[in-house]
Amino acid sequence: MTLVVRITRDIGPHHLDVDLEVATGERLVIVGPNAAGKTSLLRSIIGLDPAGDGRIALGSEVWHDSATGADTAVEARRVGFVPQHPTLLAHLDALANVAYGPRSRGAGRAESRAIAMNAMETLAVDHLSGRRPDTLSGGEAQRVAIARALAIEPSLLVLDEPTSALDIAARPGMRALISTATAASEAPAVIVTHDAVDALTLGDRIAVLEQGRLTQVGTGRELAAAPRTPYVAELLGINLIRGSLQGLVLSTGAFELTVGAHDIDDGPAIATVRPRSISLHRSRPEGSPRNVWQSRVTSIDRGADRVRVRLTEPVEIVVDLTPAGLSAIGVGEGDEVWASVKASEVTVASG
Amino acid sequence: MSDTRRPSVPRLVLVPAALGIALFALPVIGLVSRAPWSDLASLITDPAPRSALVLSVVTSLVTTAIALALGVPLALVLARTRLPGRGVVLAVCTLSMVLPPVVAGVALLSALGRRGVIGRLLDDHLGLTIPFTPAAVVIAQLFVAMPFLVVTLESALRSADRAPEEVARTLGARPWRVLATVTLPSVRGALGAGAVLTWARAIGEFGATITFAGNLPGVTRTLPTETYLALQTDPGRAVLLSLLQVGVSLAVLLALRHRWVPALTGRRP
Repeated sequence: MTLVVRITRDIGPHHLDVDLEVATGERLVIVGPNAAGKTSLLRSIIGLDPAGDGRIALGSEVWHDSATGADTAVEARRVGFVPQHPTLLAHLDALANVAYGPRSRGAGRAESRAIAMNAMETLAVDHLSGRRPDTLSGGEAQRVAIARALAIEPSLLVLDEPTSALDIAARPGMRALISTATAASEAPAVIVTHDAVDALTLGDRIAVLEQGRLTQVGTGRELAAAPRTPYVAELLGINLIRGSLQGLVLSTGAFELTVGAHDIDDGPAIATVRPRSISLHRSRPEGSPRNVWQSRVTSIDRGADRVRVRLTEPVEIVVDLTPAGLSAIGVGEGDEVWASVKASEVTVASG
Repeated sequence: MSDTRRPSVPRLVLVPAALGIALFALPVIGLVSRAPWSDLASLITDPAPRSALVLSVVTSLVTTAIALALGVPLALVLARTRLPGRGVVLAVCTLSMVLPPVVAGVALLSALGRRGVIGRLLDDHLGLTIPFTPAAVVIAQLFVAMPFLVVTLESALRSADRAPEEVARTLGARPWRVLATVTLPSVRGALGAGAVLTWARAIGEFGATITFAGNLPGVTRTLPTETYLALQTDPGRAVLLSLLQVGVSLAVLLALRHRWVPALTGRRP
């Protein structure tokens, strides 16, 4: 069954205007900056918020249609919803939490518990069945919440930032669990995240929501190859420079970049450069690179095996170096620096 | 908790705090020391205080039950709907908390008395007279005591996290089931505290009751009224009756303190 969402809705600072489809068994990841409307979109799909103008349908079931006034109640939509925080019912143990859905939908007590146990076994959390929510860790509670969503045999799965409340070490395990959960169900899945790794590992496709609009929809590979907005580029760790292309030169007005060979027409274009492809130097480098410019270091983020250096003028660029590479150059925040990149490392797409 | 350092307070704070404790403890000590214990036997065999006790217990429990039946929906409406003029409604519903009880009694008489706005209609058309009946006792108690439940529950509902209710709805729970299995359990502490406060206020009610329901032995004469009347003629007996009420109230508080009134004992449920 395919989920079709075609709605426009006023959400305060801007307008939510979305047209998307998610196929049977497909996982669509929605990414976007804060206040882009991701949560509003989810809540409209689930039925917790009004959906405004337009239509939401799952297969032949119409959940919302402003033309006919149809609007299915939340409890009748059968959405397996995993909120950002697990939100287990505090006065019930884990098994009773998972059994709550089947019980609410008319299954008997014993049957509900059997369904719940089955869902917990699928996600390998059955050992938590007798535990009270306040004795569970954040990750355990999240797993139980996912089992609870699965136990209603959902026709749609919706997960809101499933890894954001977990520490980094616990995230890979949660991603694996979400893969198991979505594979266990034929339902389309919609997953909201801030995390690029979530997006790339969980999403069959990624939809980018910015200021209420979808700015790009595609596979992770497609987005990385040709990010269409600075947000996408930043999320995927790619430099994106918008400008006007003339032959092999892209001009932003303040900055000119020589790009690699291409077959696109002159006019508005987007150049992308990987942060690893850029070199930094203390003084003006000699030799062949076609692109050399002087800049200033605005910030340095030190990771375990990589240092991310941010330059602002005359163009916003991030550069990834090894820690050894950074100390060999010997620059710090606020220092002047020379940057260079080979033209063949700059790919260009029409914008 | 013995391994954690207690937060310290300035020593001078202990003096007014001790005065506060004395204010509450001394009257009870006074009652115990002044009680004519030798008269206890005659009091127990006397049917008048017994019928007053029975009336007080029964009416206060009926009041608590009605307060729950009306007060829970009222608190839900006040906390969860966009009622127009909500502030005014809340003020009207809690006005009696700040009224002198005798004024509450006069107000009830003006509405429900035989010459009252509603009371006259009831009397003329249905032959129904409310004042000076046990029903009047319950109405007087409700009028002054129910706001304790409404206020306690309303503020708990207002501050309760809505996310569990939303999740329950996505799981297929209809509104009644959400209310019974998520909303009310999440405010059970406030519900218990509100019910106990209401009951305590109801069983202690005097001013509104004697004004609106009167003082008919066995019909509307509750224990506080019995005590007040005893004070006019036999102060020793009034002290014993007072101790009886202290005992009843204390027993209920102690019996309920862990399970139902965490808010009253500072314990979390």
